[in-house]
Amino acid sequence: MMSRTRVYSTLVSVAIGCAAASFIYGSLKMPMGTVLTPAAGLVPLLLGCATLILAIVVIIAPEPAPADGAPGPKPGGEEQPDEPRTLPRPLLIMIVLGLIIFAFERAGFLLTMLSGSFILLRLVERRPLAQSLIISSVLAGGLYFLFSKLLYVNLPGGWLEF
Amino acid sequence: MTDILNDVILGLSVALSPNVLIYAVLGCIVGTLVGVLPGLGPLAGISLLLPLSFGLAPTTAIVLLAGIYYGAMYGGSTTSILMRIPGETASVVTCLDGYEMARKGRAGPALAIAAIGSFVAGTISVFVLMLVAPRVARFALKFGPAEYVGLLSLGLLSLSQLSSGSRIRALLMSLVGLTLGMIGVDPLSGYARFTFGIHELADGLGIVPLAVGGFGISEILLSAGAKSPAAIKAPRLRDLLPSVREIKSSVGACLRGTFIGFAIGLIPGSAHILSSFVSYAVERRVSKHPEEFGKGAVQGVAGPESANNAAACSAFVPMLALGLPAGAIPAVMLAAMMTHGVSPGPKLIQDHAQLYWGFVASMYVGNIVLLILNLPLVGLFVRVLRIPYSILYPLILVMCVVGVYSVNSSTADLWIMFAAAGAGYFLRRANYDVAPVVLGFVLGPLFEMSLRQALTLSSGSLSIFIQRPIAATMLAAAFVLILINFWSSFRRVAPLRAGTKR
Repeated sequence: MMSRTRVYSTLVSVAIGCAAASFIYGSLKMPMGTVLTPAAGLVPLLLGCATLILAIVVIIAPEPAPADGAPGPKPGGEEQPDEPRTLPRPLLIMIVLGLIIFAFERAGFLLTMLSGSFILLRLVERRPLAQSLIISSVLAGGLYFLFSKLLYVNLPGGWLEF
Repeated sequence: MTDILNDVILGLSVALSPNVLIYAVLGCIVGTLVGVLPGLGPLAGISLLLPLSFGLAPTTAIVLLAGIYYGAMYGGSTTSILMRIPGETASVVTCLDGYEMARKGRAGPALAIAAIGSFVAGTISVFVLMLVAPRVARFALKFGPAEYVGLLSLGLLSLSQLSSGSRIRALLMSLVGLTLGMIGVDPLSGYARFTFGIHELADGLGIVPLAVGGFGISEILLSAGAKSPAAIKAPRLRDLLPSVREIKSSVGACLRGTFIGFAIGLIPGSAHILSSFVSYAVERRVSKHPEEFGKGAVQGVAGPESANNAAACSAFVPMLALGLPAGAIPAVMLAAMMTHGVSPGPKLIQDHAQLYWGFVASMYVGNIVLLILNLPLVGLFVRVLRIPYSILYPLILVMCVVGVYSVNSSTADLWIMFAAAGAGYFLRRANYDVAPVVLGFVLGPLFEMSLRQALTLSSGSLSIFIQRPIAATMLAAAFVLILINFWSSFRRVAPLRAGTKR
């Protein structure tokens, strides 16, 4: 029975291998030149091949014991919990982030940031309603003032158009 | 020597005059603010605030912009240490050990060491700059594509030092980074590579969305998915300053970082971003406890932060001495000087002595201002960690969105950040490290371009790498380093194999 980390590792390596294969395919359509006068496609082709080979090696090779201090699932405290509590929470955050990005230029900065941070605080983190409203309002307003008024960053106005 | 002393006194009299000093302080404050915000780096900060300097006297304008630059370099480490969000490329390395220190309740010492290291590096660099600027700048001119290939080969070798996990996985991640760096229009032929007709991809993926997504947001996702919620230890008041042991072990790292940073910063182009990576690799190699790196080694913060600041300082040498900008930021500063009717170059010291020495002295004054400003702020920044994570992470997330958007005002960057966050999450869950991806991504295009330029210059002959002494020396050094790596790997593996046979 493979550990969940091992499954993740294999899936990630397969994904990298597939991406490398498509990279090689794309490179072959580009001008190559020669080894001593390389054109646009040669270096990507070589890198794609090396990535593919190494991805295969990682899939075949046995799982290394995670070194102390090595990267991996070690969020939070000192201990490194191997399994996640639930997958949906990161997924929920990604969905909200995707919605924020989608709405950013359409609905405008203030509206998106206000609703985005409110959803995260109220629906994902289950903070009290009043607290969520106050924090998201201060956050959206504060960031708008900081970026737009102090740093002159051009932020999208959206539906509110200012 | 007397001449230099007189010049320094002239510079200090300019830099310490109230109307210049106030703009130096203002620049440092604004720069720190810009640096602390994820996404907005020194270049974006200077570019955004450049119009503000138009109404000022030339010296004051340059001092203001330089203050923003240093402030941003200082501030960039803050989010790296506290939230694992690199403000700019040079701060990526600080994430590795700085954030681990923060998780252990040592955020205060990490921030203090970063500030002190930056101050030491900045101060030493200004002195060297005053003494040897014109001579050193001429050396920088000898750097062509072949020399770049040599330097970048050394940079690529430092990739393996960035991960504390499996070497083969680190190598795979480096290759992923190098490959991602190929996306965009080929700078030599203009051929669009892997852009799929999306014109936003013509300039490549962009380092800021990649680093913010891959490091910062993936960390949020990991914490959100953890059994026990993220529990970064909030430091006690007495833990805010570094211990004597931490200071002692940082001294050597600071000095080595300063030397590495100053030397690399002189090189024209984008070489300065290498300084913190090379410094980290060197610190890990010279350390008696390399296994502590990636787990909160104070040298992993002190060295790269010093290198980063020294490079920021020495990047001005070719600009001041020869009128040649060594990178994007000095180029913007050069533009600012020319807007004010000042032409940088060999005659700058003679024609505008007050401006030149005022600017140099303001660097020193700026470093002191930043130290005074940043050390008391350590306590304030560390208080951020006392905010419950369920409130803090939505705040970080929206700041990342605004920060990344503000770089190019493009939602394409936000989608890249989104993809990098998802990829970073899965990579880290699968025990892969993201740091080599970022460095590979930075070095890949530079290496390819330099290699192809060098081969074009030599009409396809490899002799260019042997005939040019600097390139040959660096390539030989890279070769020796590869041999040392192989030898140390062999020495580790050989006893294990012998034991298995027995």
